[in-house]
Amino acid sequence: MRQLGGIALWIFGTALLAWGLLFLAPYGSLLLWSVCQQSVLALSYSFLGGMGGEVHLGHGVFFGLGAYASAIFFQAGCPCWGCVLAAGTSGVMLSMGLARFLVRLRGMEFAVCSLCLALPASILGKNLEGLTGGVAGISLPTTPMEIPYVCSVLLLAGTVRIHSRLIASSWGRALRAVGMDPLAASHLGVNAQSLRSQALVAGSGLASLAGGIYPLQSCYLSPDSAFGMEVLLGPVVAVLLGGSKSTWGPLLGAAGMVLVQEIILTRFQGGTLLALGLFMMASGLIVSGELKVWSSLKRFVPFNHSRADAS
Amino acid sequence: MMLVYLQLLLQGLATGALYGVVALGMQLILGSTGKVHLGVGQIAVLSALTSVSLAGWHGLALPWAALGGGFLAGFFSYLLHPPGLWRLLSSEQGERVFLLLTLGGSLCLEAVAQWIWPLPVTALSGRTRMFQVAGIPLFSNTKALAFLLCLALALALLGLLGFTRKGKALRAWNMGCEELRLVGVDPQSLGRWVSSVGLGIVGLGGVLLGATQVVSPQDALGYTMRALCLAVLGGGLRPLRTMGFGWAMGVGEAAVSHWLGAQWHPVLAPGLLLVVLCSRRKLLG
Repeated sequence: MRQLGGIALWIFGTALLAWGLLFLAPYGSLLLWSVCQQSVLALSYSFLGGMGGEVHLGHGVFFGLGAYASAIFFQAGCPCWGCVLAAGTSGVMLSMGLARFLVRLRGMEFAVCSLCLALPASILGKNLEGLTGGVAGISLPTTPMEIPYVCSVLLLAGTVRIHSRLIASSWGRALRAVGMDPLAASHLGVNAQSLRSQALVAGSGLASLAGGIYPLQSCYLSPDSAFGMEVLLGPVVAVLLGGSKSTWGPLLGAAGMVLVQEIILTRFQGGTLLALGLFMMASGLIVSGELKVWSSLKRFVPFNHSRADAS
Repeated sequence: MMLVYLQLLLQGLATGALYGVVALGMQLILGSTGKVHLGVGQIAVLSALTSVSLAGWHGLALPWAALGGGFLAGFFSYLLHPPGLWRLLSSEQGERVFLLLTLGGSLCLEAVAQWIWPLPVTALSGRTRMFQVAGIPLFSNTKALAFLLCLALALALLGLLGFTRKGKALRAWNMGCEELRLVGVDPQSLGRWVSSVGLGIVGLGGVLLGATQVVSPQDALGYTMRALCLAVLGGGLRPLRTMGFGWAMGVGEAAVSHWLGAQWHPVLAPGLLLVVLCSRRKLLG
């Protein structure tokens, strides 16, 4: 019965989002689309960044890679679904290649290495002019506005479903055990490296799919929009602020962050970086347990945050 | 042709010495506390931008500007790293907390810097005296002075770490905070001291950067990655080794710029760091 209720809520939420995206005024639907994209990024980040207990500062690289793959294929005349598929494939392939080296690292070394991925990615985007258009970027022909919106809603719905199934599964529990204490997890027979590789590949694939939708909506792609600080750090902040113990945490974190960024953008030019910095510092205080405002607010939210913990 | 290579070598050494100084500040914090300070590049860039603006107004001499910049950076770092912060860092999540706090602080500083200095700045002027051989400019007097100051600083730091009580306490931090307390050293006040001295050195390096290079607020992350790469390669608290790697990186970047183009040299530091961290175990923390 509870599962049926969950599915009904899921269908209702998807229908509501689809209606909002298609029939709201352009600004409202754009805002809702941004929330969808950020939510997918945050949920995909929370596989390794949340459940796996790592600070993955290079997650946005896969979004950027997907965006470029999609834009290049779209320029070559590929249909929209093919572009999104190519984006997802490119992200999965790169993450499979990197997983071998990255998942061996933990803690600060993992965080620094993932940040090291982000910097060259942006430089490659700027310097490979023949492929990426350089600093000027890639301009694309317009597509019907419904296509990216519907793709985003479907991707978000799929990501929410995958995340909520995985978080309470034995896979999710094992991943969190690895995140908390890898030695204890390995004594229980959990293969930490394989699990972390799977989390990296799954999260990167979803982020690349979200990136693949981006140029179809914006019709333009530049290194700053693909690998900018907002893309790189947005999901990290959303998951740290919202929490990773339930599917709602990253969703609420992403929605809150997009709304605050939007309010700041309309009032102060260049305030996004400042807001990201302040959010990041607040996340640090939350991680340390010094800032307990959010956890007391969570008591008033009617979702069961501790379900995954209890299981 | 040989003169061109000599020019590359000298320019690379001069630039590498500046990277080395910024890395010395990072190494002092990383090598003693084991924490990665991601605000190092931003402090260097802010010091450079501030000193260039002050030099433009008051015509300050380079050694005095460098000392003043270092002192100011150290003073502000002392205020921004209270003992309470080091108490937080002794928890289990200390590494992550420090990483997030310093990255967040760095982004806030970058936002402010972009607002004050929207365009790149430099104190380089056409009046600097150049040493030339066969009509090819090899070295400017400002870069020569900066190079000597960097070398002097590395030697001074070596002395500080080897012969002072604070230096010995810093080297002993690896044993753990409890052990430090047992030998009568308060880790919180030592943490505050090391962050302010480390960032003071970074500020000094930043002033020298501003005097010899074009700097913009967007360069901060690149300087942080270079400093981190050099501090990791240097390993522990070894100023001369770090400075040596700094020179090597400067020469490497000059070579990359010469053969591949100036737009490719920022890839070198993060690429090298990635390779080093993935190939060797437990270099950080």
